[in-house]
Amino acid sequence: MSAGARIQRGIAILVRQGSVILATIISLFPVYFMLVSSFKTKSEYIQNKWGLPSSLYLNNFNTALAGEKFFIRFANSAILTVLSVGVSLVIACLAAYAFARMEFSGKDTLFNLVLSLMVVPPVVMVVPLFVSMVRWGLVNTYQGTSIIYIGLLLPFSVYMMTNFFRTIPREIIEASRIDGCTNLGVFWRIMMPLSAPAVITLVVVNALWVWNELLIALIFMQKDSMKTLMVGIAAMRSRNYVDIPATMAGLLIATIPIVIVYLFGQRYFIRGLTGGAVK
Amino acid sequence: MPSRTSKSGLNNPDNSLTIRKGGGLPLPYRPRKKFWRKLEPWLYLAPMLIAILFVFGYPLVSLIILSFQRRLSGVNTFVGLTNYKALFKDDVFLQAVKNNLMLVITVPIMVLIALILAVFLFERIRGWQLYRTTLFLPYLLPITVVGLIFSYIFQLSGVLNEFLNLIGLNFLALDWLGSTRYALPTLMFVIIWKEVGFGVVLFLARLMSVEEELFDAAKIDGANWWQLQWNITVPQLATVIEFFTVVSVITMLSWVFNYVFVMTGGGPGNSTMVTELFVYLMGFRYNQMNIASAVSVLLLLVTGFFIFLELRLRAGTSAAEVS
Amino acid sequence: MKKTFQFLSLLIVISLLAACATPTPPPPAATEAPAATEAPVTTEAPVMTEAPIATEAPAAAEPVKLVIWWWGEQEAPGAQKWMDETIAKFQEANPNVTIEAVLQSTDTLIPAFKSAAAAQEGPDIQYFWGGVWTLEDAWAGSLVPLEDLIPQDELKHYINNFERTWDGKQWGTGWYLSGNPMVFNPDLFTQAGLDPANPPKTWDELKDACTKLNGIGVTPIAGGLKDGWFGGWLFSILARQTHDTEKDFMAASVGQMKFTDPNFAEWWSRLNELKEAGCWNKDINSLDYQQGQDMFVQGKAAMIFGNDTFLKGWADTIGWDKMDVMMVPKYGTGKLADTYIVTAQGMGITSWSKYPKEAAAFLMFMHTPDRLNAWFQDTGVFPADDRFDTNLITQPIMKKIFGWDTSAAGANLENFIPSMLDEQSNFAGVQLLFAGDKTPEELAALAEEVIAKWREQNPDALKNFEIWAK
Repeated sequence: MSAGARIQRGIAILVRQGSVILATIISLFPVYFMLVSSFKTKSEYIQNKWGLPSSLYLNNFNTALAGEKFFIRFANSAILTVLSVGVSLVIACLAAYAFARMEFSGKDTLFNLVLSLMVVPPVVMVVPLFVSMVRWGLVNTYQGTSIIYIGLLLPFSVYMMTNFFRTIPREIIEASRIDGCTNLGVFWRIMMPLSAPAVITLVVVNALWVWNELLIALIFMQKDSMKTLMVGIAAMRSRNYVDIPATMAGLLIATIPIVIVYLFGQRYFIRGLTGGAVK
Repeated sequence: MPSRTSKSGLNNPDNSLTIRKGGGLPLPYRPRKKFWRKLEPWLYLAPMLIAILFVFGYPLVSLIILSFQRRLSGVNTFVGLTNYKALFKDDVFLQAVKNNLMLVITVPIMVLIALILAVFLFERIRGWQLYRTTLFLPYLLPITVVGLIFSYIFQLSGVLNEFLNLIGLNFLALDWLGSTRYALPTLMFVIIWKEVGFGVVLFLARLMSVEEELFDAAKIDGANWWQLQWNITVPQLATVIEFFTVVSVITMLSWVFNYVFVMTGGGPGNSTMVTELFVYLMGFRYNQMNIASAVSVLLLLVTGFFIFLELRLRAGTSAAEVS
Repeated sequence: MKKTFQFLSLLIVISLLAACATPTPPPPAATEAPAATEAPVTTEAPVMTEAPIATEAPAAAEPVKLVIWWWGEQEAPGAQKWMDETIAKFQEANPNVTIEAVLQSTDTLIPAFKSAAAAQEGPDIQYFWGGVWTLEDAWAGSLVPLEDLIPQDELKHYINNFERTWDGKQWGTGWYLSGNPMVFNPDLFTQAGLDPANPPKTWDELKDACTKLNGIGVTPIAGGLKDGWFGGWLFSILARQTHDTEKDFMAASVGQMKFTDPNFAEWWSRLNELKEAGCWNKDINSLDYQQGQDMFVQGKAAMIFGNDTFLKGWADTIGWDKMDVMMVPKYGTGKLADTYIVTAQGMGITSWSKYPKEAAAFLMFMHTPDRLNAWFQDTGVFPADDRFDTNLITQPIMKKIFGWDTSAAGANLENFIPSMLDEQSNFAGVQLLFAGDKTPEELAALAEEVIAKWREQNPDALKNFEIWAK
């Protein structure tokens, strides 16, 4: 390689590394900021906003956990997540199978209709939904709020699973039919196992969404013992408005579970996407 | 009549039609089976239909009905298009629409950034796996948390400005969220910050399933970096790019409520008002369910249109693909 | 064609199914008359010094559950403790009653109630700010009038009842008083060459004070506009000065006067004068209201438009000697300019409550002398009742304020205009003023635009306002 080409190559590498490093710094800075701030006292924060704390001041975590019924909120979020994601997964897979591999009149229309529901912003539906939920006695219940989440998760889930099912080669299905499998058998023994990567991805994406969701949880789980983690955080903001380190400590506590799950489960997540789950 | 115990239609010369599309039983049917076959898909669809009807059915219908009504003398009265007409005279609503459109315009930028980063990572620069992990992290964090942190970072006396002052860029130390000119762009930055990671991982995953030979062949032919991207990368990623674009456009129209609510509340002076927030304020603060419903209907029509377009396009291309 | 037909039939089926599930909402329960026949029980009320109202519960055996959604700990720290105690005592005296009190956050107080109203289910007792904040929900049929539930000679002791009166009826009770003094730091005044015993009284004196305070490197007046609320405060504090009565604002809301009239428009220019005189912190648009208030506590600002409910908490942090209160300097000559802004935050009973009598009993229990005095001691905030033992006030600053409460009280204007006007004109407008985006004249015009829009979009609310404005 000539010197000129070598320099050009060097610059190219510099640009690549440089941009990616810059992007990473920008991505991580808020997390870093949250982390270091939660260990500072209020006055230390005012003087030194972005450096490392001089010592690990732990009282903020006391403040954050103390009035917050943290563990109950955590449990509520967890229950809602497991319930909504689990049930919506089953429903979506069943429906996706019908869309992907069965024939019936109105299939395309129905599919498009379901998909178009993906764009409905929850805020639009809250008041009418609240009215019907009260009629059915489902406010402040896990079942009630889960049903809402399930409804909201279904369009995207059906979309993803249908696309994925369509990519499973016909031959495999036909081979199993030769062996006398019914539709249900094909579904259970062939489609589902092969769909593991897509299922994992869908579960993670959906779980994340439910865990992080605020508005529905705010309106439908108002009883103090039923509030979710996100609702607790939002309330914390109005209480500790001037004690920024304490707020940060609370945010940190709420975020740590997500980060841990991500760091450990990252392989599955990436593998799911890499497995061609989305064409 | 072919018996059920015989082997499949593949090898049975008695069957004029061998395998039906979708893999059903060979002809002819007994009527009972025909009925079952018609019913079966609906059984699989039933749970979904029930859930969707419950969650979307009543609210959507109620919204449509309410949008054509007003409460006069305590009674819900039909008023035709009055609410819609009122909307188009409402400056705050128009500002909201404008802001949503501005947000949509940032989507190409977001796609481009995700694409470039994905390509860099794909080229296996050192530590690319680590970068993939860190670039994706923002996507996982709750908007509430992210919004709150950024609102502290962007304060006039916050970290960012302190830093800028430190390195001598004082003129850049602006009132990011507190000035009508910069609040919306700052908001855009935060949304992009959070959503880009998804695109990066998506593109990267797809890239990694493209055959190496394609790239090698092009390199041998002497293609430079730009040509490589333009002729190979982008076409290969076409469907994923399209998918990410559509998802992002829908996000900018319908899923930014949390960002605005936590970071600016629509201010300063309505400069960051968006349609979702407008619906929320109308419905929950001003007791104006009818106008809120009208806005909701409009929002749904617009976003529905986009997704309808996308599905049409998709149907076109996938029909061509599947053969 | 076939596809379209199928699509449409699907839609129709869905609509029909949904329509079947759409029962008409029950009409607001206007059935308070029966309570009147139980009246004999409530005549015990005047003798109600120590005796708990155990006799209110009609059938002693029937278990009663009351749900209260409230706010106030945010404004009057110590309220939670008081509420817990009060509930415990009430339950002791009325064993068949259980009360669940849920403290709402500022953001969800109103939306949660609106959802409950839409479903006609939820709390029995709801917390409301005064004036329009209570009445909007009364107009919507969500509240019951209290004439038959609380006797007149009990009600007459409650302060600021006028904030909840409409169409000749009382729609809520006051709980505690929230006033807006201008708080200043005597030490910083002295340092700047101002006399703390003689704070600014005229507009020019105020601007002069700003200059002197800037001279010693201190923010003269601190504020935070990002979450909007403070804009409404500034409106209430400054726009009042050119008027004699708050009814002017109701009149302008219904169209009998205009917000572009000189006496309505002037306050925008006056606020702008203060901004031009360098009285405010530069980052006012990037701070939330509470962060602005905190600047005073930190000693970074010399003056603040405060809330007297916070004074005790501040004193606990910095000491009573680091603050003093003054009336807002005057630029105008209307009668309201000499008044001290005070509003009574309070409660209402919902129209869907199954136990309005028990709810009323609890509200009255909140006003028993023991509870009134305990409230002051727990929070340092004045209860909205003239039977409160004023000997408990020992602190000179609080005495001063209580004097204003009783002799110079004036309405909080924010409570007398539609909330849409408050938010879209006051909140947003003040932000725009400080951002330099609009001139005072434009902002006055904006206010008139917004109110015209409100009138057009809300014919029913307009009618109710007209009745109220008489």
